[in-house]
Amino acid sequence: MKLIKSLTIIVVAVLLTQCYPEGLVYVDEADIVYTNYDPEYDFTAEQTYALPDKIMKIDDKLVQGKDTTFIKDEYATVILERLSKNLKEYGWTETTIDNNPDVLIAPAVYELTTYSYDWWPYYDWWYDPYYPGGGWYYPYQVVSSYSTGTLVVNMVDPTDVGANDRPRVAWVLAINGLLQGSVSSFNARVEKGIDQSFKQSTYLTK
Amino acid sequence: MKKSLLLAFGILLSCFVSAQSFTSIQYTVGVPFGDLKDHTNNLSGRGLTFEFHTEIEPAITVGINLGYSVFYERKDYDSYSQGTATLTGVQYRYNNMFPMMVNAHYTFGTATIMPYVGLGVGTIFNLRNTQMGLNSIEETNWHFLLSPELGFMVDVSADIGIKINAIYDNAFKTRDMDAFGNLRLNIGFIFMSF
Repeated sequence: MKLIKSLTIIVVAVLLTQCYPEGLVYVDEADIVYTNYDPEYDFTAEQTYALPDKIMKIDDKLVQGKDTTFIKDEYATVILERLSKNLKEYGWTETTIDNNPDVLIAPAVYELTTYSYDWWPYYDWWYDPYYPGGGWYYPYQVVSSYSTGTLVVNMVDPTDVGANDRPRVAWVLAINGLLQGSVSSFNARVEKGIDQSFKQSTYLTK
Repeated sequence: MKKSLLLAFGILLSCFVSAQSFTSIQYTVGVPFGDLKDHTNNLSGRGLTFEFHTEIEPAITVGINLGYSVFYERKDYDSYSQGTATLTGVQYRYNNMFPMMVNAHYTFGTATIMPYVGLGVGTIFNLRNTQMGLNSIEETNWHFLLSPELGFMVDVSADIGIKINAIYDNAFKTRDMDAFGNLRLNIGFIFMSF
């Protein structure tokens, strides 16, 4: 009787303390790909895009008014080339910002814990000739904030200016979790994430 | 009024203390149904059921039944759309179930193996968690609970037995969550005293 009672108590204790199912195991499982688009925007009518040659950081220093900083070129190259590859596969043509592209592809990496999505005045290093009002607007609901390590890419139509003189964002992608984990895993994960964002955005196809 | 309630509680307690009582602790396997199955499709191999009963008639016992089960499922890398938004990633889903009820058993016969049927009524607390990336959505709901039960007990000695039973926890719909079922398959020991 005593032995059975003792064994029962041990089994109960083990079940209650040791057997909770596991959660995230590998860092790439933390990656989430989010996309959203303006359903009223006619993607088929647009043909050309332009990309910057750097990717800016949105971090505490930027918010405090200090100079814009950028992510390392080795990372930026991977991101920009993958964006361009997918856009070309969907029938878009790359051009420079001086040739009046139909849309601008504007990537940035958030290094803040959280940051609101709907106001983004820190892009004048690149878009200033096109966006005198500063920032842009989303005609649709997007996530309320991005956490640290999120790559956010906006597809902006510089000729379609809406509320507060801000240009319209036709499409947005966000890949969360990229800044966690080792550098060696970064390339594969960012490529997988960008590929997935286009795979789930077939409305971008020409 | 307060004195009456205390008196009634005292009388009830004295019945429990003076009558023959049983305590059981069982390992529980959970089988999900309805909304629970939609969220976590796997069986739960992590569960316990505790029961304390007292005999009020030769074949009838009443008491309390408390349980705990964790349902878990890892959803592979997949896309989930709502409106114009699409989210892709690996999801981890959990349902922590805490059924608690008063119940009654009717036992057939007094042989070594004693089958019984039962019915319980109470509530079940469901702590539901959906984790995607570093984000997590937590939902908590209390459901009204009605639980039919059948099983049998096997005498091993004068004060210990083995109890095997199945309880179907029928959780009713709430404002925020649909109805679901949790079939608890239990095996464990029953003690005359503990």
